[in-house]
Amino acid sequence: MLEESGDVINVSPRVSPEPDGGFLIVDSREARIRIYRANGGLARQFGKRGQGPGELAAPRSGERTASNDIVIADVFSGVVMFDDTGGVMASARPPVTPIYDVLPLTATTVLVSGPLWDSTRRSVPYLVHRYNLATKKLEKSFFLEPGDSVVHAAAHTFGWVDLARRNDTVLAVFALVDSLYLFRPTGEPLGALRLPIQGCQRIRAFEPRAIASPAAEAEWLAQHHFLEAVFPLADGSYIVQYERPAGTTSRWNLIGIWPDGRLRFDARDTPKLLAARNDSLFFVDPRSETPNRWLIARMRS
Amino acid sequence: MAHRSYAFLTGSLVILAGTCSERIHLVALREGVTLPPSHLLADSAGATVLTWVFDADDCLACVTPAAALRRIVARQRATMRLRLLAVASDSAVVAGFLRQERLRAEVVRLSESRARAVLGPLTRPALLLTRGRTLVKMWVGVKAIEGATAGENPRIVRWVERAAGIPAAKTTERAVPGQDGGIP
Repeated sequence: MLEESGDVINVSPRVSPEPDGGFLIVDSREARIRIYRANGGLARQFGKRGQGPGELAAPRSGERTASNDIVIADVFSGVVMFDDTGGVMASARPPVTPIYDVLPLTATTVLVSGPLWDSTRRSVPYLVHRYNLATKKLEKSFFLEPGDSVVHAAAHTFGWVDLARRNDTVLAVFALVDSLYLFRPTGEPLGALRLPIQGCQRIRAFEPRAIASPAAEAEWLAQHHFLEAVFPLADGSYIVQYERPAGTTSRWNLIGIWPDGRLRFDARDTPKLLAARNDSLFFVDPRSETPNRWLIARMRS
Repeated sequence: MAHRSYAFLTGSLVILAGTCSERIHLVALREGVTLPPSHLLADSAGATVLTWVFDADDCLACVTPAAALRRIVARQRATMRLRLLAVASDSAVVAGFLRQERLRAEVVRLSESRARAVLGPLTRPALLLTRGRTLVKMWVGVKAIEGATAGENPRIVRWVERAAGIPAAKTTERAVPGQDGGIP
């Protein structure tokens, strides 16, 4: 169980395992970054809600860099780099809006995910970008948004992209297409693995009018599956979490695949998976009302 | 601008309070007004209550006052209550919202007609701060709520702290001096 207090409450935690056994938590609804020890004790919390440099509007994910700093992707405010104690080291606004995820490559270079249309004004955006925080320059964009025109239209609102890394391979899932994409950190594509999700409810039609009100949007969302996150495991396999929104909540599902694309499992109505470390999986405890109580499971070989 | 919208509210929001079997009260819903003892918003024990009046769309929207409400509950748990008046809202949606946002609140579900009878033509969403029978402060509409609840130190937190810290007024017209912007 993660320690909480009057000023510390985990509402929408995105979790990144730390090398020392602890966890880095980015809470978008609270606009806070938290570092937890392996035993669930809170080491520190930092971050300030706001629109100014170094402030957080809607932080969505974060990762530890090789130099032990912390880089945060904020949907609207860009990328913020903190030192280990929470001091703001740098902030930048790559020309990508919204920003969904960040993955540090070097001390100053990160990958960010989010749509960016090139200068030729093609109708399809690139989704992943190498960005230099020191020079504040975009070095390269890759991963052209997959899917057909219906998917591209829906992606303006629901096209989030999650990134993960295993050694020299960058993994990416795009919410609206049931595939796992693999790249080199330099952007060269390594292939794609189709996710054999049984009964996957893909988007076949999209009309902006269909989501004109929050209730209509919730109804439309509830009819589809969306890929949410990818987790590489120590045995070489991958787990992709996909969701079916249900009003103010979601139904969570997991699909496991081997590197050659073979299905390992397709599990429905699982607890929400927050993180994976080696063969350990960290779920929100389904018996709990709050996301600070976790269930730790181990993958069977 | 704030004065004009205040005047508009004063003139247009009228409450028909009480049930059919009770004595009928017509009360203008405005800051400083004393509510009838039987009114849904009144607290006979003199407690400070922050009431969020909303319909289903408001808790499914991208932007809600939930973060500020969480902060208020965390800081003022001992001195105030949070109440949700859910109008024409599915109970599962409201329960899911409360769970997702980790909000502890008393929830009152109202039909559209009952809401009209109790609150009059109050625009939703609205946040109403009451102490005992006094309507201390009101924020009506999405823009007003966003203005009061945005940022690291939302203005609404200070309003609640001040309301919770003053003696309950039984008959005074104005419990907290000033109008919009009274607290920076």
